[in-house]
Formats: sequence, C-alpha cells, structure tokens
Amino acid sequence: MTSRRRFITRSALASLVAVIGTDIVFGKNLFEDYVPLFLDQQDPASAFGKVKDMIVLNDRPWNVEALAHHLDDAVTPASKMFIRNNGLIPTDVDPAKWTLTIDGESVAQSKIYTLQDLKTKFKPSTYQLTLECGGNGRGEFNPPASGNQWGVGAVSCARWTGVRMRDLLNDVGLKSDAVYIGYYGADLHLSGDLNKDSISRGVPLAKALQDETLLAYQMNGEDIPLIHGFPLRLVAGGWPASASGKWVKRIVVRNKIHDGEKMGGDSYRMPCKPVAPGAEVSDEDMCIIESMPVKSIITYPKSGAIINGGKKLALRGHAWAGELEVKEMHLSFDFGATWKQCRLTSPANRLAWQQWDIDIQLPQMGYYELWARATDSMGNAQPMVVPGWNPKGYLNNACHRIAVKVV
Amino acid sequence: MEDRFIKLVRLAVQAVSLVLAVCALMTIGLIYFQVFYQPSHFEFGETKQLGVVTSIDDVKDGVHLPTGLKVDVNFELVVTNCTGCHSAKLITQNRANADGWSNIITWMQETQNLWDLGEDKSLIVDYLSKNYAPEQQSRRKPLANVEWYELED
Ligand code: HEC
Repeated sequence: MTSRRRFITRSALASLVAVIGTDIVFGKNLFEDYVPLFLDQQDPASAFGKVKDMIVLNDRPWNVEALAHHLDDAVTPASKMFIRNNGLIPTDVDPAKWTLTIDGESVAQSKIYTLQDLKTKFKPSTYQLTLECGGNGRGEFNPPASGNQWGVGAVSCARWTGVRMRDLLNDVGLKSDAVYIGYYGADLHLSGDLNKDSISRGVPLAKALQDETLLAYQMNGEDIPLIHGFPLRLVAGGWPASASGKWVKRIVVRNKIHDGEKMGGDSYRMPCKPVAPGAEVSDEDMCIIESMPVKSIITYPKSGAIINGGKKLALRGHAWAGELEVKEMHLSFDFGATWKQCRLTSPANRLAWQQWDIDIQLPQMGYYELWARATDSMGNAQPMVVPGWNPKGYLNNACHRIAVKVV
Repeated sequence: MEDRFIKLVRLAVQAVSLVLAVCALMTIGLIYFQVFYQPSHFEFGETKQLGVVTSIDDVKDGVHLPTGLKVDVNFELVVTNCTGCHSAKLITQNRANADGWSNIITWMQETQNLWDLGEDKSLIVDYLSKNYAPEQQSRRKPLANVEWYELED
C-alpha cells in the first residue's frame, strides 16, 4: 500500500501547492501522518522488528526473506523469520473475542472455541518445527517461474506451543469418511473482496493427526507476532509453510481433498511425473506437494569471507528433510569433486532442523565456493544443480553455496 | 449613482467569494479523494481507471521511482491496472516472455479478481515482455554480488 499512498499523497500535495502557490513546510510529514495503518511502513525492521538487511521481495503483500547468515540460531527468533503473505494482514485482531470454529461435512459435531478454551481445556505441547516456503529457491529456475523470487532464506525453525490438532479433532469427533482438513484465516484478499479467501489450504487427516501438528498460540514462548499469525496458527512442520495457515478462524474437516484457495491449479503442486523445462502441464497431471525435500544451509561464515592462508575455517549451519531426518551432511570446496563429512546433531524433536559443523583447511590461495549437501534417512541427497523444473518453481533444494577467498 | 456603484461592488465581491468558495470546496474534495482513496474498495466487475499522476522528478535512469517500473510505452496502463492489489515489486522481480505474462494475467483474471482488460491486455503484455523478459542463464549461475569482507575469529 505504501508506494501507492506515497504516490497519491504527493499528487495531493502538488495540488495544494498549486492552489496556495507556495510550498508547505513539513507538508510531507503532514500527509504521511495521515497514513492510517502502521502496516503501511516501508521497512520490515520498524514494521515487524526484523533485522535490518532482510530482503523485501514485496511490500504489498509483505514477502520478506532472511539471508543465510541471519539464520545462525538453532531456534529462529521472530526477528529473523521470513514473511510470506498472500493477502492483507488482519488489522482488528482482538484475542478476547477470537474464536475458532471446527466444522465441515465430516465432523460429528461442529464446535466453537475461544482462545481461552484452547489454552485451558487442552494440554499444551511445544515442538521446534521447520517451516519452509514451498517456493524457497524459486529464483534459480530457468525458464523463470512466476511469483516471489525467493533465494535461500524462506525457512525457519521456531518453537511453537499450542493444542494438538488431534485433540481438537477428537473433541469434535470425526465421521468415518473424513480424509482432509482445511483452514480459513482472517487475512483479506488483496483485491479487498470480502467474499474471497487469500489462501485456504490444508493437509490430509494423517498429517493432521500427528503429534507435532499444532494449533499454536505461542512462538518461542511468547504470543505469536501478528505478522506470523497472531493469535492462532496451524503449524504442520516439514510441509510447505503454506499448509501452516495464519490467523486461523476456522478448520473444516473434509470428506475429500480440501478445495480451498491455492489447493488447485499450479499452486503448491508439482507435475506428478517429471516434465521438461518450460513444459505446459495440465491440471490433472499436477500433484499436491506434501513433505518438503532434504535441504541444508551454511549460516556461518556469511558468503564473501576473506581468510588468511594456513588458517582453519570453521563452518556451520542447519539441515532438514521434511518428514524425514537428515542422516549425513557433507561439504565440498571443489565443486563437488570431493566431499568431507560434517558433524551432525540429532533434531530437538521430529520435524526440527539439525545442526552441522566442520573445520576445513583450504589447500591454497584463491577463490573457493563451499557447497553444503545433506542426505536424508532414505538416502536422498541434495542435487548440485537445480532440480526438476516445474511451472511454479517449487522445491529447489540444490546445494547451498557460499564464496570464500584465501589471501 | 453612488448607490448603484456600491451595489455593483457588493455583487462583484459576492461573486468572487462564491467562486473562491467553490474552488476551495473542490480543492478539499480533490485532496480528500486523493488521500483517502483506496483502489481496493472499488466495485467489482467494472473497469477501474486510476489517474496516473507522475512527474519528471519521479523518474531516474528510466525507472519510475514510486513503483520501480521501467518507463516505456504503455507504462501508464501497467501502473493503472497492475498496482492496485499488490505493489509493482511482484512484477519487477518476475521474468517471462509474452505467453508467460499473458498466462500470469489470465490466472489473475480467473482466480484473483483481476478485471477484464479488453484491448489493453495485449498492450500490457507487450510492455511486460519487452521490459521484463527472461535473461539467458545457465542451470546454475556463478555466485553473484559477493560482498567481500575480512573474516575475524
Ligand atoms: C484484483 C487484484 C489484482 C490486480 C489488479 C493485479 N493482480 Fe497480480 N496478483 C494478484 C494476487 C492476489 C496475486 C497473488 C499474490 C501472492 O500470492 O502473493 C497476484 C500475483 C501476481 C504475480 C505473481 C504471479 C504468481 O505466479 O504468483 C504477478 C507477476 C502479477 N500478479 C502481475 C500483475 C500484473 C502484470 C497486473 C496488471 C495486469 C496485476 N498483477 C494486477 C491480484 C491482482
């Protein structure tokens, strides 16, 4: 909204100036103060408390990603968590009045819960859960895939606290034909059309019933920040983060695959069979993305490090594998010709990313690319080039690379 | 005689104040409209036309600073039709050929409430496919924009 507002504001000023024939002192400030919402701020640092140099891919709607070195913490703080918004952030959230409705054709009895109900009538659970945007890495696809051109930083792993989805589903009761759940959130469609959802995705019942699938009301021990879904967010770790609906008002239990906004077409779907780059794929040949693939990032050092010859270089980062665990982690400084094994921790819990580190000695002076490659418990490793092209550029899990110079 | 003159003057003053008042009202109306005007609150289904007010100060190196769009033929159509729902950053970060841009626009028309663009659609596609065309690239580009720094331990 910002740029349009500024744009309009300026022309309004211009007409004022034209009328009274003189410049208005502080006119700019005067009009900018009129911008009614704090959400109209240009930079995510002051609007959402993000670290300064995160990358703003879009400011209406907000889509912001971290740089790899921002993500060094084992538990991602709110200040470094990427933002993926499909619509407008709700502006009138009153937690005291917030309710969650669970209904749909496959619930035994639909129910409405207040936040207080969720916090007091059900046992809370806390898990560290990896949330990665399905389109993380989109910027590398060729031919280009449309949408926000994410680099590597649309991933986070925070500690989420809330009610198990399973406990809620048990509370309402499921009919025998229940197969899927879907969410509806309070974010308005970009066009302002009240009858249209920005996004309404979901997961199969089996995923909804996992221990770790939460309706979360806390992130890292505090209320969830507004931009990340306050006061209530579905969290389905290891799946495209779009399955983890924000500002959740309603959960529907379906007797078929949920058909909400962005469940069909090319959205969050991959060709069921691999296709040639640039191919057209018809709707019936597209399959919904479920678990995210194995991936890793180098969070230290930041790309561009200049080091002295003879010195050891300590590197570290995270690795994750959707529903699976990461089994091995390797690093290469010769474009994948040879690989060195890294130390690797176990995850804090299922669906949490794991930490790796390694000390290396670069053989001589010069330019190096350091490549990181994780392998999951099924033996799938990250590809060194960009993997299978797909219409919307999802699931690029190619090895992360940083540049280092030895002088 | 003097009476008539005074009457005339009074009339003139009244006329002038009336004109001024109307002007002032119109100005206030104009400002109100421009400041509080929200394109998203339009009726659906009708073609939306926003006045594109721009000045030479807003353009640097061929780029329109308020939107970030390249200034070229049909630029105004793109500002008018494509920056109401989302910022132009969603356009400037994407690359596609004419078919690709046309598909993106069709997708928005079918699923995201984008209105019928009539004959403007092909003009918009011309602008987009000329200014935001795919670049030649390899399967993986060399690392770019590396900011070198001394690593201290
Ligand atoms: C009526 C509202 C509306 C208008 C007007 C509009 N768009 Fe969009 N557009 C959307 C929505 C909603 C999205 C999805 C945003 C998201 O997912 O972040 C979108 C997404 C996009 C994308 C990304 C596509 C993708 O695959 O995710 C591009 C590029 C784009 N718009 C270009 C344009 C252009 C060019 C125009 C002018 C012809 C335009 N938009 C006008 C609503 C609109």
